[in-house]
Amino acid sequence: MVASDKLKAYLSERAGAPVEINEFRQLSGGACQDNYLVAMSMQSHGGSTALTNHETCVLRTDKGGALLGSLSRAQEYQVIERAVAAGVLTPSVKWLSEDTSIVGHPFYLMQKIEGTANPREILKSKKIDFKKLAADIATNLAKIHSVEYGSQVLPFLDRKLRPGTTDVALTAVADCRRLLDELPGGYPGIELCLNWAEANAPVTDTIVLAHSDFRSGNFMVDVAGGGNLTGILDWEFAHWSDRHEDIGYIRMRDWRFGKVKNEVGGFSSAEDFYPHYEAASQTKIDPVKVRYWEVMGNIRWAIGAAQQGERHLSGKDKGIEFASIGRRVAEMELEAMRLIEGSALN
Amino acid sequence: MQYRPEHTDLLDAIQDFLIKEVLPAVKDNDAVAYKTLVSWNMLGVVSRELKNGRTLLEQDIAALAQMLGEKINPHEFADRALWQKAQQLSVATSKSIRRSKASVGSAEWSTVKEILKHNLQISNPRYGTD
Repeated sequence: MVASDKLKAYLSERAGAPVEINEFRQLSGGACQDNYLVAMSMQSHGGSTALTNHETCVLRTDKGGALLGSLSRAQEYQVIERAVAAGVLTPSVKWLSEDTSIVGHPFYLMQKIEGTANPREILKSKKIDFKKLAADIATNLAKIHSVEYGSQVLPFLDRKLRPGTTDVALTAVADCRRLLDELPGGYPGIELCLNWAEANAPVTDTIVLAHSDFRSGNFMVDVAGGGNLTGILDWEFAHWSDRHEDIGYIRMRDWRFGKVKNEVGGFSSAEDFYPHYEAASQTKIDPVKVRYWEVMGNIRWAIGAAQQGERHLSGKDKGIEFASIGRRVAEMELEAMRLIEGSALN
Repeated sequence: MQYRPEHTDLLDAIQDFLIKEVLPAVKDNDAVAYKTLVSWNMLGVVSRELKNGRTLLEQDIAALAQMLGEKINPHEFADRALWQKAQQLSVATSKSIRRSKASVGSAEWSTVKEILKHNLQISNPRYGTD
């Protein structure tokens, strides 16, 4: 994609002044999205003098067919606005357009923040105070979960799940089975784990907004500038859920990126993470529910990995990175089975 | 018949080339460096599959067929047909497990776990050692 005259005209209209695009290049993106850096300059008039303002943003748009049940850009935009209002540290958004004639798909602009989300770079850094990072991430998670379910809040996410029931867990099990049925292959390990998950579905006390991809890789950290958390990224899977879903997810073995002894994201122990979450949310974490949702996280990622392999085979998005992930399903299946058995990490 | 070196030696040579020559040349481009490493890794998967895949797959098929009450002699299948048979049995086993609600502690659980361990011997033998 290139910075077209149509894009320039749209940005000028929203800015209320002529906009010049000085730089436009692709950044690394998510599974279903493309991100582009846009450096703009625009003229404004301060009295008798003309001023030039410079602004650099990220343009976020779809990569082609959306997959994995992710949100549309318009829905993601509203989720981010709600998260920002709840005080979550995440890049703010503006100028949503659903006109597909401008860049080919709906898009919006996002504040550009400093740092890297590359988990390997973050986890090996000597400049980061990881206890502080754990506290910051835990506190931000509590802020996300402060957005409680209501039929008028983000109504497009509403699936009529009832608090005080097993609706959330059983719906997650049903969703996984539906996704499995769309795949050509058979995954007996996932099926065994889903049977366990169905039989052991926990009650959700309060239904909250879950980020649902809350893991190392989606935390932007200013490694060069002192190691502070600068933002939580990628809201495309956000939905109403049990708070323990996100806590189980950040613990998943695969998101520890080789630092398996650090059970929270490869950067923290539970002892250095949970108290900050509990203090900020005023809610006690239930370890039994965390384990349940860690199993579900592994199941969901196992299915996601199989889907990415199929995505390569279908020709929709060919690439060695997608093809190789299809061969990783067994890792998540065995990890889910280990968690269910309650065995030690080997 | 083909002359030496055999397929796995060729794959080893490509792996060496990727890690020793390509990776240092592209190290400043994160995305290409990452794909180079993934490619090196996948060549290892293919190499291990060529060496041991058939033996492990025959064991897996025998175990799946026994679970489903089917009589199959895996030795009778050519490589491609054996792979297709495994896919078919895996789908049938998945359906049967969903119907029976089998879970932890069942015979199916132990059998499937062994099959998954075979999978990792090919796809990621270092899993669990990190």
